[in-house]
Amino acid sequence: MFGFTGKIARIDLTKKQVSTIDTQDYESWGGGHGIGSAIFWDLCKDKTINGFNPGNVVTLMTSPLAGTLATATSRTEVQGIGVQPYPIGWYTRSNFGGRFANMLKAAGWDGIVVEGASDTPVWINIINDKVTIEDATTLAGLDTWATQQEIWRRVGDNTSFEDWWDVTGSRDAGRTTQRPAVLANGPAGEALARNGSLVHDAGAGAGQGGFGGVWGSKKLKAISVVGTGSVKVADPAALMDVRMWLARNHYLNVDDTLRIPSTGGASMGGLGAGRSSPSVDNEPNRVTGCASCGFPCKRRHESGTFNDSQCVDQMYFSVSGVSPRDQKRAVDMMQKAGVNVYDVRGLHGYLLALYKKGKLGIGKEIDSTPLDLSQYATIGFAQAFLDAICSRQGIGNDLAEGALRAAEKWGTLGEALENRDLNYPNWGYSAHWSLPEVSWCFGSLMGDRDINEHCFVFPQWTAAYTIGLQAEGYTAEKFVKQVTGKMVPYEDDMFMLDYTWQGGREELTGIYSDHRAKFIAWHRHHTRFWKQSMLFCDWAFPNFINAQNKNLEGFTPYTEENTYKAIMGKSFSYADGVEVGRKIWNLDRAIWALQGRHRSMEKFAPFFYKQYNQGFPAVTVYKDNQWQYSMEPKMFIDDAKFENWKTKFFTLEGWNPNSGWPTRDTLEDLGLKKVADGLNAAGKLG
Amino acid sequence: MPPGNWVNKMFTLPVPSKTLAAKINSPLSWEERIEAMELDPYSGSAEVNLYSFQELIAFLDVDTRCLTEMRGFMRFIEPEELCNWTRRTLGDQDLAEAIETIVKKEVNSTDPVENYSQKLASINSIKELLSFRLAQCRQVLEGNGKVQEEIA
Repeated sequence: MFGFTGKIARIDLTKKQVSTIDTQDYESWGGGHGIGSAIFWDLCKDKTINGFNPGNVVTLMTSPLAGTLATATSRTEVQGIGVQPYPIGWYTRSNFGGRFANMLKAAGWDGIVVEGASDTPVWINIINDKVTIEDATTLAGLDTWATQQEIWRRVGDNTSFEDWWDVTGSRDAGRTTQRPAVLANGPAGEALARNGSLVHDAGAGAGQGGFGGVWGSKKLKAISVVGTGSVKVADPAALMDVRMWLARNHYLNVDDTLRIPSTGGASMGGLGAGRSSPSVDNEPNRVTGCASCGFPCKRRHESGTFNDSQCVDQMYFSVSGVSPRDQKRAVDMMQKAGVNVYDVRGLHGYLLALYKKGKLGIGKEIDSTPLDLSQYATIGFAQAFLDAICSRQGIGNDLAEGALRAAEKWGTLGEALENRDLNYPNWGYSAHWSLPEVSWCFGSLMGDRDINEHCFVFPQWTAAYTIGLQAEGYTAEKFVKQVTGKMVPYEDDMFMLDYTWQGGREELTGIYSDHRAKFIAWHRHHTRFWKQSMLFCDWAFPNFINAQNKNLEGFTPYTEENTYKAIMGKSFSYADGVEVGRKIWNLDRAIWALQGRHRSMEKFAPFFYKQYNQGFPAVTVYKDNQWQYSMEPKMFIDDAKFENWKTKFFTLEGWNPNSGWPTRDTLEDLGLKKVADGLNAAGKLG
Repeated sequence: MPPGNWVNKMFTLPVPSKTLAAKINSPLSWEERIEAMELDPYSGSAEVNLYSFQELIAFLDVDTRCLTEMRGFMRFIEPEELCNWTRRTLGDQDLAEAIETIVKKEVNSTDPVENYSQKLASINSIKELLSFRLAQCRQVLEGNGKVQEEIA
């Protein structure tokens, strides 16, 4: 068996038992999310429970590509019933990078399944084959960094990790230079905060879904893993060939950049070395990356603050009037508390809005004790806000319920979603690239969360803004043709990238058309397999076009197909992966149906049907019989046309257009008869 | 930013009245707030409510690398909306006209993409103008008329 280690650790925290699942039983699901969903279906007997229920099953799955030199695949997919989604805690997912996945594979495990709940705090200690459930009483209350440091000390037996160390006390049993990889729950998760996140190393984290709170309900403080083994690769030389091909043709060569400064190192649809979000104040730093990654995107800073944090992390407290230094300190506070920035950055701004309206404050209608909003733009407030969530003291008890549930309790939710005081368009998740990148908002609403998949954002951004490329004759038509040409099996349909949203063509070829239905279907299926099961990093894949390639050719699908083949020893096309993704997507949809999903619920927040600024206006449109780059900063959704689009989408997916539930024919065609039977028994078959 | 920069040389911005200067220097209520955008190529966009003119100036910052290299970030407001807000909320016609003059000077491409890029980039000049206006207002409030004459 190549790629896989062959076994998954099954850990029952109620019974304090550890057993093994044979990976081969689930191999047809690919890995990562696919295997996670299949195991969840089998092991979670009542899928209608809420995420805090001990019956919730949490899976942490790796890819068969992890633990090898496959680039950008050291990611771990976390799944289970979430506590963040609103109004129902959908079965959901998150994933994180760093060293955890590769270390888990080196220890001989493809994944971990956590069932039940402990009655006392515990942590899980994995040292190669040995899995033990340890007492975490003395870890309770520690922040995520202190937890990791304490576990390093315990597992490493006080080694300084400056040299080889024997992980089992015996050199022959295996040794490493590495610290254990620890995924830690913070004080927020321990307090059952719905915005609690899991944190690994300094800044890798599984934030969305509220898995910190879920772990808190299981009294699970951390999982530590250290391994000294390796993963069998079918053809190591071929794997190296793929990496070298990438390096020669697509990576940024800092000594000989092909296109600078117009496109710099940015590989459109992915990233070049060190192309991460900038440090808030451009503090000197060096680039670092996840294990095995050829696109390192994180930073270690001279001051020692803000290490590894990136993307939206840096926006936790980007409040006007707060110095860059304090903004970075606030990010570290957030990571240590184990709080999901995506929920709380909108939430603390909302507190200020209510304060300004005179509704919230100490002693006001909504009592903000212990938070003094007059101190809002200070580092002290940033810490006090996190402390309130972690302690659930005063208003912190509401804040720990997440933005929408807090507003609901205060009686302000309706107004907040009408007026966009809370910019949370679907399922209780903050807006992201939601509009005009409609694959983002449509995909999110058809699923369970904010999709957080940049497949089309990066190319759109770069192609539209890069004046240099336009000067090279890289027209909108070329862009559309090149991107859609890789979207198998719909590769002949260029109208998938027509973002026309008004004026008459929107239902023919634009965002409410059958073409857009195919686009969304492709995106959901593609990401379920290649991004969340093979776990190719979202920030590097897919690579439709690439600025460092002389022909602007992206490295998708060559890299994905040939990496898979080299490791697994068998051919598997990009389209094959998309089809497995369709199976996974349908299984997830079936789980949501059991949880109560119905077409009638799939509505955006009211503000989404009104005009407002989104800030990212660059898209492609077919207008006046030609393709054009267009600026659409004021796009909004038409309710009736979107409802018609849903019918088109459900029909394409083989779901009942009235309910949005998968039909028996569709499920059986995918080999999911038992899922069809399960839906039928619950009266939820489409 | 002190007066005397290029904006000062480019524009004749009449000295504000004491009433207007006080208005520009005051905290803003919820109804008077200004809505701006924060955008990073990777993490997405977010709307930000700002509650003073000074806060707006501190906030605005368009890193032009963002437009061409997917680096940096943009903290901006569409100039047209800023003009509307300046007229409607502050009642500062002179400032609004000065903003429009900057836009007219710096935003002139017929290509819609480049035009929008120019519009975003113009925020940095507009920020200078706003800083100049704030300094004017403070001098009016602190200088009791004497400094007004110097500015004029």
